[in-house]
Amino acid sequence: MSVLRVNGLRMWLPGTARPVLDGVELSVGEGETVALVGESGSGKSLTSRAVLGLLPDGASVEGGVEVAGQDVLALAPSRLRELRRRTVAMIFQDPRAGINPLRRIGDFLVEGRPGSQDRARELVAAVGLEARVLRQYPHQLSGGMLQRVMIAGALMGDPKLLLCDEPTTALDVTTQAEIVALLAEVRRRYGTGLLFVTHDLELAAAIADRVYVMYAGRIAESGPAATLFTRPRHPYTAALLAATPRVETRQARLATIPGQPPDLRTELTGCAFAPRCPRATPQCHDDPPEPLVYGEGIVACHHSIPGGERA
Amino acid sequence: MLEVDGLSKSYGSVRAVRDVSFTLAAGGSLGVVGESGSGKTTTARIILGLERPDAGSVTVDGHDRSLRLGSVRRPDHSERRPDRSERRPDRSERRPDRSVRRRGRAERLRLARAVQIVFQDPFLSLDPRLSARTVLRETLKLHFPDLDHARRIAELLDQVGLGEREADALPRHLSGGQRQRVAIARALAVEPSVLVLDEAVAALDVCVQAQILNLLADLRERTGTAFLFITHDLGVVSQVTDHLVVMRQGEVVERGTTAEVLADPRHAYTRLLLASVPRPPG
Ligand SMILES: Nc1ncnc2c1ncn2[C@@H]1O[C@H](COP(=O)(O)OP(=O)(O)OP(=O)(O)O)[C@@H](O)[C@H]1O
Ligand SMILES: Nc1ncnc2c1ncn2[C@@H]1O[C@H](COP(=O)(O)OP(=O)(O)OP(=O)(O)O)[C@@H](O)[C@H]1O
Ligand SMILES: [Mg+2]
Ligand SMILES: [Mg+2]
Repeated sequence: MSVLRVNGLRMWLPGTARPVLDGVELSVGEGETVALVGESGSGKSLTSRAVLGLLPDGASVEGGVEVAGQDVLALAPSRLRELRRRTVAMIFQDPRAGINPLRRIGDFLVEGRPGSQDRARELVAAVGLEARVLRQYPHQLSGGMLQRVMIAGALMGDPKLLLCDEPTTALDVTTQAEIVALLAEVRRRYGTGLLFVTHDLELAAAIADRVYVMYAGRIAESGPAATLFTRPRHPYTAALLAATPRVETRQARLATIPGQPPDLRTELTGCAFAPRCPRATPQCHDDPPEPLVYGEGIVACHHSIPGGERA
Repeated sequence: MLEVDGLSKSYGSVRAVRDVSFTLAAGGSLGVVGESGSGKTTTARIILGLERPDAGSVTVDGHDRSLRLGSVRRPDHSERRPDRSERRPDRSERRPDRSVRRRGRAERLRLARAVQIVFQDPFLSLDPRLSARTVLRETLKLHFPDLDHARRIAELLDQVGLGEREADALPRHLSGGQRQRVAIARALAVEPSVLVLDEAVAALDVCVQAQILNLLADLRERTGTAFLFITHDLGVVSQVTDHLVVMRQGEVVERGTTAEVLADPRHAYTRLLLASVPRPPG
């Protein structure tokens, strides 16, 4: 059973020439951890916010978003609120943007959940914070501490699906490791499904069962975490891996991809990655590639890397 | 270039920073790593003059920056979240103390731009009413009134990989990584002697991140800009810094060249940091 099913999601924003999300297909099973990675501005946050029924002003959408069997895009506002309170929760990229600076942490956690003080205390301890933070205000906490508070807040309603938009970006690696372990425990204990948006490919490989790679509003490639990063098929995935800085080796210059992602104000005729792709042929500029199933993965590329060795 | 000497800062019973010292030479690159809450951001805020240390001093280009704080003391709770206008790069201009005023406008501006910072949450440091282009234009007008602004703006936008659409969009219409790049472009616009990056590249995808790290390496070589990288990403640290400081509970627990510290960590906490780098199972 899937806790999340995104079917052919398209989203248009005002003043753009092409959909900002262009046929996104994605699912998260019960207790499964799925990572969504990809270029900055490719639509990862818009996708995860759409799962909560949060759309930018003036956006129009097509396609389906089903959370635990309910069509989010068709829910009445009251049902949507209920869904957000119980079934699905989200941890945002900017912890400070998601919290009222004038309320104490303790009040923030129990907001809308009368009688949940004990649970709040338990979760604050579970995310590795001292009880004193319950009496503190957001500005008194460091970025990493505040993100732990947000995670505790997200767990207050025992959600079936937890959306994490770069939850560990602001955390040091040891805290990150603790939070990741905490999320794994949550998933084991409650069967929570996790959609994890991240830039960190190593992290994605370490925690996810499956990974989706997004480029310009489309899914370029998806597959099991165990093989996707060792044998990427899409040239974009291979380029991402090549650009990752490593602790062990220092390069004079980091590998980058020449050029920039396509502007939202231009239409796309073929593959979105074609202008920057070392493998592109004229066909790539004219026909958008259809997703092809291979083994347990899917790749949308006319010239995917055979056997998936690195480009 | 930058000299930090014996900084300490407490909030009530929390000793956020304890006797922290380090130096950063012109064209140098220093990494600061450490656990969450270890005092990295507080140190950066003191360097920027956004926070007053209980003890210690910060010297930039031979000028003692603590002078710039003057006698204005804000109530404690507002220190961590200054209002938006104060986070603009020209903030020191509006609250000059006497010693600074005597130095004249040009000198004041030079000091104001000597150190720039890019914070970990750009959402709060960007003015929500201004597009990237407007921010850059205003910044350049203030610091370099005689420059060809349109050309420099185009150059900056290109360097951080922002397109025409993003250049004219308001912050709330941008993705997290795009906002972060606006903040980086704004800091680069004033050509600081020292640029402090507080988890500033963490929210960028690896390609854009690589592009920006390469750009910073070029700047360092070409202009002698010095960098202070506060980051948890040991991959980034190993790529772009020469020296490394490891902080824990407000204190520096280890320091040395980056290569040495990463290859042969002495302190148990540094070893733990290295062991925590996420690696795929098996
Ligand atoms: N409210 C909005 N109005 C108009 N455009 C928007 C809005 N929100 C996002 N966009 C644009 O839509 C695109 C996708 O944004 P999104 O935030 O989903 O990117 P992302 O993949 O999360 O990127 P990042 O990794 O940088 O956070 C970007 O080009 C962004 O500029
Ligand atoms: N205005 C404040 N009032 C009270 N305590 C504060 C204030 N600002 C910071 N602190 C405390 O000082 C300590 C250091 O915080 P700081 O933000 O410098 O940490 P950091 O190393 O940047 O952590 P992170 O990696 O999580 O960003 C923390 O314990 C924090 O709670
Ligand atoms: Mg995002
Ligand atoms: Mg910090």
